[in-house]
Amino acid sequence: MRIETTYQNQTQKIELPNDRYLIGFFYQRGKQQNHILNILDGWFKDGAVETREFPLSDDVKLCVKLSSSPSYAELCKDFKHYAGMNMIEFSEKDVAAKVVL
Amino acid sequence: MKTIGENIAYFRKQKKMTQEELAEQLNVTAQAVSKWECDSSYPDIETMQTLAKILGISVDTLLNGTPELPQTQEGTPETIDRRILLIDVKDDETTVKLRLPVSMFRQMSQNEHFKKMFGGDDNQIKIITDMIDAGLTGPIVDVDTDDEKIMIRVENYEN
Repeated sequence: MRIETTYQNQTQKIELPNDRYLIGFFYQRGKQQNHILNILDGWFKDGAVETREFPLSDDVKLCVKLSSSPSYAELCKDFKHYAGMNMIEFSEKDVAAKVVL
Repeated sequence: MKTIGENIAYFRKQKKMTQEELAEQLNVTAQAVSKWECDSSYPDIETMQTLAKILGISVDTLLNGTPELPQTQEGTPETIDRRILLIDVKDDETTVKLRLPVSMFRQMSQNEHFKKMFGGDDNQIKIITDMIDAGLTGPIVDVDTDDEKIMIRVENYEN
């Protein structure tokens, strides 16, 4: 699973660790969280949740929420069939993100 | 949405006509019809009206095509579970596209965050699940309000 994020036409690819699974992400501009996409947050409760930050500029960063849920890991075993599929595509103003399985 | 050229080709074939036969009835060359169907040029307005009449459709349908409808594709529970649900949500500022395996949609449909996408309405999620289980593919939800546009499709996934 990886995230490809674009800010002002500059793209970064972020590979997620194999034992961590995406449950949400958001962009933070200064102190303001512009948008939150937390569709899986609160579902996979059987693992620890952490937020990792990836700076895109001096005041904009991508914050990724990850879970170590064993049940998510179990579900991902079934996802081999969908390897390479864009699971989420998100765009707002000058930022965009794509989550690739 | 299909192009005008694709619509001309589609409805001509529905009428079982060749490009030459259509051209003859319109008093144009077969090359002209070919160019229209490739979207390299377009018929003028007068020809468009005659063309629509020959094809037995309205000019509006010729320009915009017919809306795509869901189809029933039989499948086993396993193959249906491997289909994907494409959920597109768009408002003035934000576009979110989700591609979820049906198996995951089933699990997530109990998630409160996920339910909020459907107005917290269990019935809507049940209706969608019923349509998936009935083997429907293609556009199953198309909601266009002043604030946002939501489209949901079911598709087979080929990788």
